[in-house]
Amino acid sequence: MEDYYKDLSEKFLDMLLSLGVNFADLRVVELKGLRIEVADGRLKELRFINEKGLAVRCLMAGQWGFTSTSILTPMEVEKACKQAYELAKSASRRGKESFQPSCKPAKLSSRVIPIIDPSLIDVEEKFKICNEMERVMRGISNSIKSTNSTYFELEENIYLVNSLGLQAECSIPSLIVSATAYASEAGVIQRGHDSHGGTGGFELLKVRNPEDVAQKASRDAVELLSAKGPPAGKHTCVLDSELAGVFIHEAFGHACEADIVLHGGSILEEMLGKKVGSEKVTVKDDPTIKGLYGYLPIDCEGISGSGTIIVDKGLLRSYLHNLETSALMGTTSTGNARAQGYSSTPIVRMTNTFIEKGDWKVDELLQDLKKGVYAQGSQYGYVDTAEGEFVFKCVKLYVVENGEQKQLCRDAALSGYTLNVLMNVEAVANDLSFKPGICGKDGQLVRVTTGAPHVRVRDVIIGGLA
Amino acid sequence: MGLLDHCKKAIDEALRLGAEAVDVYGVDVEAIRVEVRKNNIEVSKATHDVGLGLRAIVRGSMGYSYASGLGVNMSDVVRKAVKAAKVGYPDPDFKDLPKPSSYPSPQGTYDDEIASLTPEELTDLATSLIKKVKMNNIYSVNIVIESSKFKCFIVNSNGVEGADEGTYLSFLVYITARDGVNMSSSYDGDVVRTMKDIDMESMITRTAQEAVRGLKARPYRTTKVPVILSGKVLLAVIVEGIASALNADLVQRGRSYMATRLNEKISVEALTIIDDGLVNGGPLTRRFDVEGTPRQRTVLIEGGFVRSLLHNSYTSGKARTKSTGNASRSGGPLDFRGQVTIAPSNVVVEPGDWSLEEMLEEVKYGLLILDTHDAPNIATGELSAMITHGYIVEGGEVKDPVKQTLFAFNIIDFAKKIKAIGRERSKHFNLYSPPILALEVQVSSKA
Repeated sequence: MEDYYKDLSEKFLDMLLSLGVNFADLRVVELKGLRIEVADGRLKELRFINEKGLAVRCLMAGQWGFTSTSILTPMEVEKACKQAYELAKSASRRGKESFQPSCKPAKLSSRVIPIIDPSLIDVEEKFKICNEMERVMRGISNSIKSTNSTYFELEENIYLVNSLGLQAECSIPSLIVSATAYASEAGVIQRGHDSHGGTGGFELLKVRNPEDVAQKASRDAVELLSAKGPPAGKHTCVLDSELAGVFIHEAFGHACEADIVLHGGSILEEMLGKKVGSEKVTVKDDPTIKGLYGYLPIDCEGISGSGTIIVDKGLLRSYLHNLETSALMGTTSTGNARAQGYSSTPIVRMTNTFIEKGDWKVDELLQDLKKGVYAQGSQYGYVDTAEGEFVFKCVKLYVVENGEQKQLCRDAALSGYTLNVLMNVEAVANDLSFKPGICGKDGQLVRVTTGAPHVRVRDVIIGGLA
Repeated sequence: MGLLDHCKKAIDEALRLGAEAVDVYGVDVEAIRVEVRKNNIEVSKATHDVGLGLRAIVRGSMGYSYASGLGVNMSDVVRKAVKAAKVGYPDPDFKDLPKPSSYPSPQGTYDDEIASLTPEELTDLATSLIKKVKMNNIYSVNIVIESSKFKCFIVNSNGVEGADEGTYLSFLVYITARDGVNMSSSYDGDVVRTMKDIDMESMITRTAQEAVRGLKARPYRTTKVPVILSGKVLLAVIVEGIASALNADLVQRGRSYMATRLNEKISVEALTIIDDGLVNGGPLTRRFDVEGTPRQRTVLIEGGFVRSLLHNSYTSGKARTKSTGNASRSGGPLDFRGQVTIAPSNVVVEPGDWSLEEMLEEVKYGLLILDTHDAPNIATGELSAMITHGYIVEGGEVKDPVKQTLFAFNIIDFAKKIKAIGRERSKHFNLYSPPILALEVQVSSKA
C-alpha cells in the first residue's frame, strides 16, 4: 500500500480520537485483478479490475457509525470520518449495552508471494487457458452443445489502523478457474460445473490443471443426460466430500457465527459445551491453511486468527468471533471479521471450514449401505439458522442397494434439521479434501473453502419429482 | 472538465487506439442504512460509491475496464479495455452498440422524501417500527432500512448520451420467535422507489404474527397435491423460472430449457407474463438499460404462448432483431464493474378471475406456499425447493404452517397444470403477480 494512504489513515484516526470516540478504525482496500470469460469458444469478457476505497468505523456507547468512499482525497476522507463520527454519536443516544473492543497494540504484516507471479504472465497466456478448457470440454462428447470457461485472478491489499494501536497490512493474491458444460440430447439439457483455485499464483494450476477441471464439468453434464428424477422421501445418505463440505458450512458453520448467535438467530445459542452431533464429528475453521481459497492471515479488523475447533467429537466448543462479538461474549476474537471490499462493514464470516477426517474407508461407507442414496457434488445450499432447517442441492444422486450404485438421479434437494443431521452421522471417512467457494451473507460475498471427507447420515429428506 | 466530457474524451482515445465501438457507463450512488439487530440499533452506515466502466470492442471482441472514484486516470482505463478487446478472437455475431434514440420518462422513480432522509430520521423510523412488535414469544427483531439516491449515465461511440436518476428505499425484516421448545422465524422485505409505496408498519406486524404462528408448524407428507403459490415464492417460479429462462443469451447458447420453445404453447391459456421496464414506480424501471437502449414493455408469454425473448444489443444483433432494453450488468443495473448481461426488469403477470377463497375451496386439501429460498435449474426447468413459508390447507381452509417440506416440479409441467389465476395482484420486489393454483404438485416430507 502506498505511503500516501497510510499517512491519510493515520492522520484521520488521530482526528477521530480527538473527538472522543470509544473505538475507531480506518481500512484502505485496493483490489487489482483480471477476469476472463470465454463462452462457446469466444471471448465473452476480459475485464481488468482496479479499485481503491476507504472504510471508516467509529464506536460510541455500543453503536457503530460506518462510512466509506471511493474518492480518496484528504477532503473526502475527512468528510467520511466526520460523518462516521456523527452517525455513531447520533445512534449512541438510543442506548444499548455498551462494549469495548480489545486487542493488543501491534504492527502486523503478511504478504503472500506467489511462486509464479500472475502479473508477469501475458494476458494472452491466460486467455489460452480458457480456450484450452473449452477445447477439452467439447472433446469429451458430441452432446456437449455449450461451454463456459473462466479465469479470475485478484490481488487484495488491505491497510488498517485502529485506535488500540494496531497497524496491519496484508496482501493476498488468489486465482481460480472454472468450467461449465451443457450437454443436450433429445430435448434434455444438463449442466456440469467444476472449479479449482486457492490463494497464491500460477503454481495453483500445477496442483490441478485446468484441463482436469474442464473434463470433470463435461463428464458430469454428459452423465446427467441419462439421470432420472430423485426418489422423494427419507433416506440414509452418503455425502461425498464436496457436498459434506458445503453441508457443514451452510447447515452448521453459519449458526456458529457469533453475530448471528447474539442476534437471536442461531439454533446454537446457549449450546456451548453441549452435545450437538455424533462423537464422530469434529469441525474446524482454520484461516491459517496456506494455499486454500479461504486463507486469511489477518482479518478485516487486523486480527490474526490461529484456527478454531468449533465442534470437538460432537461437543460445541466455540463460536466464531470478531472484535464486537468477542467483547460482548467475554472472549477474544478468532480473526473471523471479513468485509467485501471497502463499502461493507466487517461481519463474522467463515474462512476454511471443514469436518475432520474419520477412520472409515470410502468403499466401506457404501458397501455397508443396504438401501439409501449416494449424493455427489453441490449446486448450492442455505439454512435458516434460527430454526436449523437447511436445504442443499447436489449435482448427482445415485440410488444405492446392497452397497451397489444403481440409478443416477438429478436435481435432488436434501433437507433436514442441522442438529438432527449431525446427531445422525453414522460414519466419517478418511478422505478429507477441500473445495474453493464463494459465500454470501448480508449481501456480502467472500472467498472461502469448504472441506470434508465422505460422510454417512441417517434420515435425510430428499425432495424430487418422483 | 465535467464527468461527461471526461467520458467523451475517453471514447475518442479508445477509438484512436483501435476500438471500433466504445461505451462508458457511469454510476454515482449515495446510500444511508440503519441495521437493527435483536431489537437494538447497531450500525448506522453511509456510503458513497462512484465509478466508470468502459467497454471497448475490436472486431466484435469485448474488452472491459473500470475504475472507482473520481480522480480516475482514464488513459489507463482506456488502454486496458482496448488491450483486453484485442486479445479475443473476432466475433462476427456482434453487430453494433445502440444508436441514439429518445428516452421515455417513467413516473414514480424519484422521491424527494427518500432523497432527503437523514441518518437520524432513518434511525427514528427504525426505532418506531421496533416498538410496533409487542407480541408474546417474540425473541428477536432484526431490521435493515436503506435509502439511496443514484445518478447514472451512458455515453457511446454512436452518439448515445443518456442520464437518469432515482431513489430507492429497501426494507428487510427478520423476526424470530421461541416458546421454550420450538423456534420459528419469519421474514419479509421489499424495494420501492417512493415512500408512499411501502407500509413498513404492516409488514413488521405481519412478520411478527407469522413468526409466532410458525411455532405451531408441522411437517406435511410425501404425496401429490394441489398447491396455491402466492407472494415471494412466485419470484422463484415466474421471475427466475420463466422470465430469466427467456434470456436470449442462454437461449442462443442452448443453455435454457426454453431454448427451442419460442412461439410454442407452454402453458394454459390463462397465463400472460410481461416484462415491463416502465411500470410506474417499479424497482427496475429506468429510462434506458445499461447500454442505452430505451426501457420498454415486452410480452413474454401471451395466452400460454412464448412470444419474445429478453435481449441486449449483442443477442439482438445476433438474432437480427431489436434489443428489448434488458441489458444489465452482472452486479445489477447500478453496477459499473461487471460485464454486460441480460436480466428481466419488472415482471407482471396478468390477473385471472379467481378470488383466494375460491382457490382454497378448489384445493380442499393441499398447500398454500408463500416463500422458498430456492431457485430453479434453468437448464432443465426443474425446481425442487424447501417451503420456507407456507400453510397446510384442509377442508378449503388455511390451517397450520408447514415445515420440513419440499415441493418439486418441472416448470413446463407446472405451467400446464395451472388451474386458476387470482384476480388480485401483489408486488414483491420486481414481480407483480396474483396467486396461482396448480394441480398435482409433488411434495416430500418426513412421512
